[in-house]
Amino acid sequence: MKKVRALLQASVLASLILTACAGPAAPTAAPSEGTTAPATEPTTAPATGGDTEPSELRIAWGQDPDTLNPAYSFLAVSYTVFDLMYSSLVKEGPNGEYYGDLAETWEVSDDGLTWTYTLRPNIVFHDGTPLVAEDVAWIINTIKDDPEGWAALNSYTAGFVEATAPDAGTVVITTDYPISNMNYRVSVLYAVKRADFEGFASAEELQNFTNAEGIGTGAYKLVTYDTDQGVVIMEANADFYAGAPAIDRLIFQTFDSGDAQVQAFRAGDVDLLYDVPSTAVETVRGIAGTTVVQRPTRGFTELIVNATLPDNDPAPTGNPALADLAVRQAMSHAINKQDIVDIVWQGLARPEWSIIAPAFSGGFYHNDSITDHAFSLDSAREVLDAAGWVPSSDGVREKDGMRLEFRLEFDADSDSYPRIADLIATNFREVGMEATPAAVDSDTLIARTTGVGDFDLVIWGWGGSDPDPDFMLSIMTCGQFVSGGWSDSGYCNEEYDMLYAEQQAALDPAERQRIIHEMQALLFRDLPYIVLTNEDSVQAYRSDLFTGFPDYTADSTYGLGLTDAYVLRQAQPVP
Amino acid sequence: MRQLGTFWRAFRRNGTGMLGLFLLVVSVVLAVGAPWLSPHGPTDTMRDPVTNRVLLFAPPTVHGPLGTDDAGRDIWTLLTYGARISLSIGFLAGVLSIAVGSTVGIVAGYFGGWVDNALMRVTDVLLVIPDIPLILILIAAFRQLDLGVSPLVLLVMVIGLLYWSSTARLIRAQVLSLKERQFVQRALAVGAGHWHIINRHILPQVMPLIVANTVLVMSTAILVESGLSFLGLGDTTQPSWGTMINFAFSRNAVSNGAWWYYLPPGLAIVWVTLGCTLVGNVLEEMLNPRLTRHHLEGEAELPRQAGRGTAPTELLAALTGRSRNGEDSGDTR
Amino acid sequence: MTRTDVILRKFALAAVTIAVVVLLNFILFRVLPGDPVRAVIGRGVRISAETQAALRVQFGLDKPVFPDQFIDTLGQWAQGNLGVSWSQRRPVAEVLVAKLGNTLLLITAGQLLSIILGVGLGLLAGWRRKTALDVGALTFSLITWATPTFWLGIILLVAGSAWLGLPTAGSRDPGNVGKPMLEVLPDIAEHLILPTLTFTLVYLGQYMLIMRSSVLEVLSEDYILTAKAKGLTVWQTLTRHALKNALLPVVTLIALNLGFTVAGAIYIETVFSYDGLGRLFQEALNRQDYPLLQGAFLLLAVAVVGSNLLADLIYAYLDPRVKTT
Repeated sequence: MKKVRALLQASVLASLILTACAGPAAPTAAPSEGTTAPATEPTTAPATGGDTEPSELRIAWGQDPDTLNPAYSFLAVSYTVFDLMYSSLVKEGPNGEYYGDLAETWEVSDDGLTWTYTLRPNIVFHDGTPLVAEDVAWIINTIKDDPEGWAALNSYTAGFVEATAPDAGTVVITTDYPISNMNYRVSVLYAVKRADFEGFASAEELQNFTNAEGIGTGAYKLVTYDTDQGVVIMEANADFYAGAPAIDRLIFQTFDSGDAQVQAFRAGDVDLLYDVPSTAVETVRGIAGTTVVQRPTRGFTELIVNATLPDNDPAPTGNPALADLAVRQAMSHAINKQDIVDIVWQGLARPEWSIIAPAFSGGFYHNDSITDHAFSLDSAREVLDAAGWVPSSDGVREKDGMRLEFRLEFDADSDSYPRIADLIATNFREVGMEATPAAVDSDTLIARTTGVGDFDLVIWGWGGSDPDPDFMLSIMTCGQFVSGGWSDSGYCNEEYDMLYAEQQAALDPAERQRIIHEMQALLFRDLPYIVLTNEDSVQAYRSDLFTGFPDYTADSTYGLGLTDAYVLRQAQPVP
Repeated sequence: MRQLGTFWRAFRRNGTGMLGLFLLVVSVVLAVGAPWLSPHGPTDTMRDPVTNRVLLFAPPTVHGPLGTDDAGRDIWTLLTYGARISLSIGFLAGVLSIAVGSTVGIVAGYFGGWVDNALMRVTDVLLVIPDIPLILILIAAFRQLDLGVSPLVLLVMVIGLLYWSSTARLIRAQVLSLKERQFVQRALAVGAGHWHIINRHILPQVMPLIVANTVLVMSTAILVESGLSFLGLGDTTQPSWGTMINFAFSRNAVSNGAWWYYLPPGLAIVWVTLGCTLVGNVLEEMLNPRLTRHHLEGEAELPRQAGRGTAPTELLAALTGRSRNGEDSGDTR
Repeated sequence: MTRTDVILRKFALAAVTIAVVVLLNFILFRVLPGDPVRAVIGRGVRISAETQAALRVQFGLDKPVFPDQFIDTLGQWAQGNLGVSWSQRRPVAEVLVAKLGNTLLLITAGQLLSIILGVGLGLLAGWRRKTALDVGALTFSLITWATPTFWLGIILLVAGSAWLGLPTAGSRDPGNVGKPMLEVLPDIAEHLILPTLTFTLVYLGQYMLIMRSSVLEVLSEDYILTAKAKGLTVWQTLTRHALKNALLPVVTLIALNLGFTVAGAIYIETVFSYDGLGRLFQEALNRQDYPLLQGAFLLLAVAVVGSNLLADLIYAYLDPRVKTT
């Protein structure tokens, strides 16, 4: 498992991306780390009067939740439901900061090893029983102690020593080393009802539990989870700590073709589109009473260059010419990224060069001091000429018996990558490089890249679902280039690895920012990835029926989608 | 040569045959002439001459003759290049399937006994396994093997190696009846070798049947190829007609109202399939006036056709009103 | 050959076929490289290498494929247990049953309509042989034969939604989930219209042809004379005798067609996002959910082989040639 196609590429697969997790056993550093709660608590819109008909928001998405059991759930859609039904100590806010959810305030000790969370009073589960600190400590310890059963969440607790509840209103988490992205980690450790998750005899039994009647403390309670129809129905939680949300019912329905979603939206059968395919955006814009929400994701599409070291075991099969930095730079110059944006993403993306997209924490981590190689076929030719690559009789450049001929592979399931491959191959041909596109099964692609280096160039994308940059940075570390790891380029640079470890423990946000900027500069210098584009996520809702959603055009870095719990709590039906 | 001339004169008089031939010739011209029939290449992006903006989903009124697709490529160009892929796959898979089917049919029919029995049981099993699910699994599995085989070769192999059972039965029945004929018996009596007899006496007799059947099987192969490509099992780097429809569907041509994107490739498939069917039927009729297809070798046997239900042959026979073997009812009874 | 022999042979063939399917379906994926654990949990999902290994053990993938995994699987199946879907973490049988209903509904409706329309059209075409009606009907079925099912589906989807405002996806409206069956019946029917129509057009031609042949035969035989003597009109004769004659081939064709409808269902369910077995099959394939895939393939194969067997049996019982030999 590795990568995901970026959000826009295909609505269905895009949702495969899970929102979360720390890298395998790789503790991480966090964005604005801090000690106290940035108290950006959303105000919940006032509930409508009791005499009116209950309001209902119908949401269409492209994929069923895999299960509503957080122990074994991997799809982004499932996490959307979890964030609505469950609370956690803190949750991600609109601009990369975290607000207190269960926790009213929290602080970290001076050595960075002890985190103390003070809970809000009077939080009750959907069944009316009160939540106590012991419930929270219990689930954190359970996730930490059962790596197999809690397969989906266990890696978030890497580096945790223990969670305790000194009194009913306080949770304390102790860690082995300072963890800079602690907020992000605890944001997915959901406060489940202990009785729901106790007493499973084996990991398998726990994973097979569907949790169709799950009880939490979130703003909405789960009413129906119909796996066969792909429908999730939720109702407003009248006892929610910030008051009941204004929209009384949420219905999530799965459609697996983009056209079908659009038709249903046009016909008024659904009110909100979770993910509008790029090729359908213009159509949706034309539907009366609709607001289309377009916001940049943290995802990107890249050209992976085989940077595997020659002494790797097994030996890499990539064209040795790729080791020449001039060749990689020429490629970067030769690719018309704007064309990819216009043609493949229908304008819903931007050319990009960094694996840390501007959307991370509202631009905090993106290194703005670097300017991308300009698209210029002439520059590409000059770079190659200067490096001694001379066109042969058939136009393909050669040097020392090496020819600039490459395999250009991509996931066979994608309907966008073949388009990108064509554009790149055309660009390359004009500067004397020959790339042969081929569609390959994604699992094969993973097997041939991760830890192996059996490729030349691969087009792929990352979903960028993690709000924290740590994971994205981790995929370029030496240790990840193993089977089961996340590095596919084979890039290995000790300096980079050292910086990576430093940013994990950097509790001061400014310090972490400086390190991460430096890491991006290294990657841009060495070009193991030629990042192509940073895509937008497009959603749409019936603004003639619902209001209160944030104004996305006013805040271009607003990081939460329409179905995020924080956002939905502010929405209300048009009176 | 003279025989061929006579044959052509006879064929020319056949209206349906000529119609089918016309359909086929047009599509072959399209395929062969692709580079000359359009000023664009299959991966070129069309741009507005004034603004230089890429023409995405441009209707035929904006960019002729057939508009552009989701990536601004010329659909007429894609259609002509698509003819190359679709026709070659149809042709190659058809030939492969006939080769396997004929070999099995001749061997089974000629040698009889346990050989026949074994081969026919294999045929029976193949006929009843649900074909599309099997193919889906086969192709997915082979793709994962990552043998470096082009997806198109894979399609040809899978279609060719699965759709031969009905041919095998047909040929076998014919060989069985030939075997009893005098000239074969006489050759056996004078001690001619099996290879000699098959080569000199059997093969020439069943050849016309094989030729006619090839054209018919090609139509099935083209249909199956388009279906598999629609499901995404084709080569996404090559514009076969099925792949075009796949992209049109997955890239929201329907929501965009881009009928010029999904209609032409579908019509092209219908066009070629009809052509093969018409020609194949007429050929079969002309080359084998005495032949009928009997599956009823002493036991009750249902007519089965790999692919979809009724064979086009029967339809055609009914349509042209030509009776085969004095009966109008084909072999469905 | 006696009828018993014929029947025994048919049963043997069916059994062998199922065995082949089981074996094929098992081998194809298990002996191949690739990592189902990765495929099942999806991409972009971070699970530590240790947890991945634990899942492999849980799925039985750490054992040798032969004989261990094979025997395990066979043993489970022998007990009627199809296992647990890796991606959905629910019993495979439960998943299959849930989707089976929708597909059955679609196939049944499509078949019924195509039989009724096909038989009616065939009757007319045969009766009015060589007229524009006859030629038109035959040309129509020839063209539908040459038309790819999925493309026909797309055309109907566009036409049906644009001009008739019919729903184009799913098996019912989202708001109707969980409501009592009776209440949502009209909704379900509405969602069935376009997929069923596609099915009908694809299969109608065959039934029409059989009926037409039967009619022509009756017209050419002595029935007409006899019937005239009895004072029946030609039309009355036709409907009586031709219908009776066509019964055997039509019934066997129905059983045979069940096999081909599997392919049809995969295409049609894909085009109309109809949540039935066809789509389930593709989904299981994409996510390399072996237990689900094997279960789905087994179910499809058993259904097809079973209906073929049924066709053979009907034929063996009704066909006069078998009776006399």
